[in-house]
Amino acid sequence: MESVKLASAIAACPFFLIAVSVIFLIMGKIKFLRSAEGYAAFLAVLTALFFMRFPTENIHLFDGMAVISGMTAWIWIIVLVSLAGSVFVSIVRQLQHPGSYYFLLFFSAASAMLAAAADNLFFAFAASEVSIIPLYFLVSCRRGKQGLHAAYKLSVFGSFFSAFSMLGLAFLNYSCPSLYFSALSKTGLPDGLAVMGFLLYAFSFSFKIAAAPFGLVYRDVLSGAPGPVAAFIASSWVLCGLPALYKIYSLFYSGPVHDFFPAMAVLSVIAGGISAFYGRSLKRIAVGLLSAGIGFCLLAFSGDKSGLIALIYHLPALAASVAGLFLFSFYFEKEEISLPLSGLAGFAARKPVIAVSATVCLFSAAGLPPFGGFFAKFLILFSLIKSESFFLAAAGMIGLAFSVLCCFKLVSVLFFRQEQPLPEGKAVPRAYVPLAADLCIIILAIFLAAYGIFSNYFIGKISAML
Amino acid sequence: MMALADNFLFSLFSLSALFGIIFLFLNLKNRLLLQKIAFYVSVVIFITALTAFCLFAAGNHPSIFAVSAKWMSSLNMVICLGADKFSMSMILLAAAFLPVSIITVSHAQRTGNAFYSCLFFLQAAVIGLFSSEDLFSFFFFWQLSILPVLFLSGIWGKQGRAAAVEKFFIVYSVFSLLFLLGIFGIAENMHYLTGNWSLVFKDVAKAGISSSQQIFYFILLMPVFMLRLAAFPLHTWFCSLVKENQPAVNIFLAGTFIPAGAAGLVKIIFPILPKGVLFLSPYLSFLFALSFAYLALMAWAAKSFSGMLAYLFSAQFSLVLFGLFSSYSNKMPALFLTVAISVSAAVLFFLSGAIENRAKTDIIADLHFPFKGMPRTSSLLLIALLSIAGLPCLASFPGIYGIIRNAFSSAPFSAIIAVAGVFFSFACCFRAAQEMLFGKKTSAAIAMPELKKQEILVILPFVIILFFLGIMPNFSAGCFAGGSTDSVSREALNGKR
Repeated sequence: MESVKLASAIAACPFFLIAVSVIFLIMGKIKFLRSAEGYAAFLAVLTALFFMRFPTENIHLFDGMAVISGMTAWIWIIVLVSLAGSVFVSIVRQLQHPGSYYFLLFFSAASAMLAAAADNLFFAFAASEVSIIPLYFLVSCRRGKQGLHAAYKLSVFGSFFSAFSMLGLAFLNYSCPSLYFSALSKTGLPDGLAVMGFLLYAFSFSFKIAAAPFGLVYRDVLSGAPGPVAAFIASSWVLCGLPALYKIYSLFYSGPVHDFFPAMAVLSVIAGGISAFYGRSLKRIAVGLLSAGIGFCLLAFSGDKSGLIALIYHLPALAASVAGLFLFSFYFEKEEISLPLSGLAGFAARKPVIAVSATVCLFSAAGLPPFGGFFAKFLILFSLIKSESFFLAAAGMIGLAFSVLCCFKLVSVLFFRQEQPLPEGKAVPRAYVPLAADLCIIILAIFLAAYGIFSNYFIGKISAML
Repeated sequence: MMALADNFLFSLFSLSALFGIIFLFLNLKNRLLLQKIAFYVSVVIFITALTAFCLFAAGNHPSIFAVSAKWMSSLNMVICLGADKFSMSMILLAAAFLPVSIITVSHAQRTGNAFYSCLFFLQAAVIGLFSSEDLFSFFFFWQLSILPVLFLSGIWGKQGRAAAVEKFFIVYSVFSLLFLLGIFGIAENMHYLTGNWSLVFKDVAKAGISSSQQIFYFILLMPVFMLRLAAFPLHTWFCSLVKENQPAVNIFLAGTFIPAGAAGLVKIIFPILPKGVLFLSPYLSFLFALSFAYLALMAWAAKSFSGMLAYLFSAQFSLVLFGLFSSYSNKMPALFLTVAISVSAAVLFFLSGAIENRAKTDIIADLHFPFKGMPRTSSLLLIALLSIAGLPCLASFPGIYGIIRNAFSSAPFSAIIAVAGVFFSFACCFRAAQEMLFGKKTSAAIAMPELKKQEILVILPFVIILFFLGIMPNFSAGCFAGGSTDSVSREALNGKR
């Protein structure tokens, strides 16, 4: 009876979010309730988080098309925490249509959570498509030139890759009548058309998880998006595509689909690192580091059995560090204008606590000790060595070098340089940064430090969960 | 993890790290009060370290110094901490240098709580580094120790710090990757040979890695330790950083940060890769002898006092490397010299700081403090300079003598070059002493006040240690002998048979 209650509580989480999102839409129409919407949204996410647990056994939804396992619950918690942070920061912002904003945010989060739980290729596709549509509107909610451009880019690329997914699904469905992972694993080696289908499907999903090269489109998308939305997309939305990709990878022991993932991983790690190193603004650097981090997640696929543990351990570290950097970027933009890196000079002298917290996020994203990112990346590389994937480990280290150098570039501007007045016309007035953003950055930094220092505890939990 | 908490070394590391965190948030406006608090806290850490050292020397509680704790048990990883006599001496010195560093800080340098926090973190990382007994924790602390130096030099350095810090960080990042590659390679080999993934030094040393692979890993890892020990041609980061750093940071940098490279050699290279050492030691000993002579010559030519010290210490560390590789069966003189250099570094950089704070310049030609006017400063400076040069009865002499005596039997040609290096070191120190203490007062020279009593009180114990090391080398060598395995000498003997 207890387990049934637990299963119901966990499974109800995304549906609860969808239900609440509809209420927000209605609340938006009532004038005197508008100002309370942010607080209600925050309360709703906290409620969902309160009822979230790790399932003792897999929970099946929609006739088994979605399965809530320990890994799914782990990702759901990341999504909920990220959503809570985004809502918390959004409360104090002057939103034009708070009802629609929270509706879209919650709806996207709930669909992404279902995509993370998908145990069926069609379901994964459908859920991720549903979750991306609200993002088109959220990215452009400021209605500025850059935001509209970002939304346009996301919609064009999103549609393009959705078409690939559809084509892949059609090929697959032609060869294998059932698109359940369990059924696919029993069909043995697929024929040429099915392999083509898998490749197209994986290729389109690699865009959604921000893997290079096409994932780098997110540099423009997230640069134009408002801070809380960008933080939400980067820290949790993109991670929801990983379980489906891992399940596809697990179906193959060799062949082009099996080789596709390491190739994508190498490309992401190196291109992400280089992109971060040459990034001209903080958001672009954060997207580069995100792409490199996703590359590390894909690298973990090729590791031995400890690779999966390392991958799951890596997810919160990546999410927290990237979210911290996006929230930090609040300081360096006004409306949609981002300051160049030189605008960060002397920031540490003005706001030392925030600078140190952002540096912690940066160090973790780059894989420097003693933060969560260091242990995660070390464990992923070590799992690659254990599985004798030396080339992949070497590629991971090269990507790591770029990330570390990028990290130094930012640290030297933040801490070592004096503030210099920008030339006339280039100066951007200092942005108003809500206290909530400051608080979130500090909490994320503390989490990353604790996550690294107590890595032993977390790894133990993950191992027990699997 | 409970086992770790019971370990004295881990507790010492945690204590330093804890104070690092506390100082990060202790934002007092009264800088003098902040400095006093930092000083007393560092004295507490020193007393703890001294207690640990005494307990260790007495040998009554070996279990509190060695620990092997399962870490991430599901991944079969183990954290191993422990101490040999050399590591314990260096840990004690790391604890002793912090009060000296703190008292060197001048209030004109705008240091705040973050500065002291970085110093505590650096001390914690160095303690962790010296007590590591497995490759993972060694790499972890190795990386960790770089970050405080980055901030200490980057934020509180002098005018030209940006370029120096950039060079330091980029070079260290690249070489850290080499280190990581070496660790993974060794781990893979370990698994291939024994079936387990242990990274503990003792286990890896017993694995029996083949000769060719040992040579390969040696080539991969040796530059990493050469970089740390600022040996030619990887010394430039140190020389440029020392010129731009505050003396308080330099005390730590030359006193404990760099000697960690020697610990790496003794703990990793010699026990795990003995065949690599045997194969390449003739070439390396020649390179290090040459490096010693060249860097000593550079020190002789240096115009600034900090520049001279930077080259002089690089030269001395090259001599340590020469000692380790020219006579690997007897590492005692090299380890002795490492400790002597550390103590000399504390005294010399402390004096350099005191002089710089008073004279506002460190150009040797502009510094003038005659015996008559400043007997205390002049005497201390002369003792420290003569000690680092290798004058008998002072700290470095037994180490230098032992290294060169041993080298004459194993690598005579390199030994001759090393003797030339000793001559250059002497010449450099005498030139500095003559110009600053006995030279004519130039128009640019500034009248300086004498060292204060409390400054003398802080530095005097180190000066006494300089004499103690020189006069009683046998007794002091007993304090930091052993610890390293003799696998290289065993290999050498096997080769001869």
